[in-house]
Amino acid sequence: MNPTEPVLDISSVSVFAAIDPDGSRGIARKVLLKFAEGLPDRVQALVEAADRRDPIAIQVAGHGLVSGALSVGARALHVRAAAIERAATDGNLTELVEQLAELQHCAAETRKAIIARFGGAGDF
Amino acid sequence: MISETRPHTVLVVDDDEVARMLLEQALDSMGYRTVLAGSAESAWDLLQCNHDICFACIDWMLPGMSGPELCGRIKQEIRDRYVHTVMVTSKAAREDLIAAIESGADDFLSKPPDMGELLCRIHAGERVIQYDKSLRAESEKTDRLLESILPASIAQRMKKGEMRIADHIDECSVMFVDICGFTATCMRVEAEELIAELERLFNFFDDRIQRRGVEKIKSIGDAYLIAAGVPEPDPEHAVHLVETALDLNRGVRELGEAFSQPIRVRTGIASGPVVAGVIGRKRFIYDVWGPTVNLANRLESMAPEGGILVDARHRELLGDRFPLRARGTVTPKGFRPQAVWELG
Repeated sequence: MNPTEPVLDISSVSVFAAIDPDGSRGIARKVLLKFAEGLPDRVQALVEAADRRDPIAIQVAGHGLVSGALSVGARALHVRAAAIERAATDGNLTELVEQLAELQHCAAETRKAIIARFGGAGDF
Repeated sequence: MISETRPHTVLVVDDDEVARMLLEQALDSMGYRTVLAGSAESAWDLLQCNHDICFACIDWMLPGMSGPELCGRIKQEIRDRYVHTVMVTSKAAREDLIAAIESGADDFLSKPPDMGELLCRIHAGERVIQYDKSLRAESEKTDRLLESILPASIAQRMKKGEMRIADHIDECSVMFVDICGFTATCMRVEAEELIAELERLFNFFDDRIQRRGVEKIKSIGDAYLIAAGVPEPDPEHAVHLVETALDLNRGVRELGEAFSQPIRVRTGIASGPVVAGVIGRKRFIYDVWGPTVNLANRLESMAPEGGILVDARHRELLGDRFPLRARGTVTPKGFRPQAVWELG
């Protein structure tokens, strides 16, 4: 894990602070739990693309993770997904296995952090 | 700020459900209505059927058609309104911004959108939307004005940039209608009454001309110049113009009974080629020129009160569909002797 990037930094998402500053409307909770719910599938799509060594599919799946992670302030996950997307765009998949392992670990940490903050699996 | 009474509808296009939710919540909190699409194709369908959408936040990477491609299509194909397009993307490089704007996007925002930035970009877009609406309203006014003084098809051609309109029409029918003794009537009737009666008469003429689908070219004092088969060809121009002449004659008789002085009209009709076009730079006039026009004018002056005189070509085109009486040969000024017929 990159120690410089927090797993979850909701304050980086100004929408939450602007429209639901105290969380009473539950907007951040709703959006983040939706992200956590879909996260395993997003990671799985990336793993399958990596298994096929399909750069386009890796790029698309990686970009999806980048976009979602940015939307919820999952900054560490964003960094890892962006690295994989960039590598696929450049056609450089030499470190893909290691990158993917790091991303899977980071995704699990992110999911754990979201659930810890906003609710359990029963909330999905 | 914008003076719109209702907020614009914003289309959010993103294949990522979380990103869509985030923008939806943000826009909702600003009072905007949102419609959501997960692909450019479904966004395109929504744009076709929901004409309230004049603002779109579009992700770059979408399944199928990409965000920039969608922006380009919107700018090229949506003509009934201006749709302000903002790319909202996790791409953040300067070359991405340039590529997006070049493709047709109006603005560019990086994910996750900053609320303040999103709001000010929307306001900037709304200003453009408002300018566009004002321009369209002015343009519609100009169009209506142009169509009130020119035939619709000619107005359309001028709107498309054709500034010199000069058409050779192989064959059409031209009619002059003149109120008999109008000058003498002018001397006997009060000005206000005269104008009121002339207005009623000409309004009646305009109404009948429009119903018959023939073209009023102009009124000249108390005379009317009408044509059929211009500017658009009409294979039945001769018939349509005669039917109009009969209509006008009948109407004049009926209307004239209520007037201060009984009125009658003289009518002359000729068929043949004309040149038709628009003249004037500040004040446009659609007009017709040529011997056919002159002959119709001469025949009108030779027609008896309440009579309709037609030339040989017009008579030939009518065949036996209308009762026509041969009225011998006349020699209108500037013409060789002409055989003429009177309708009725």
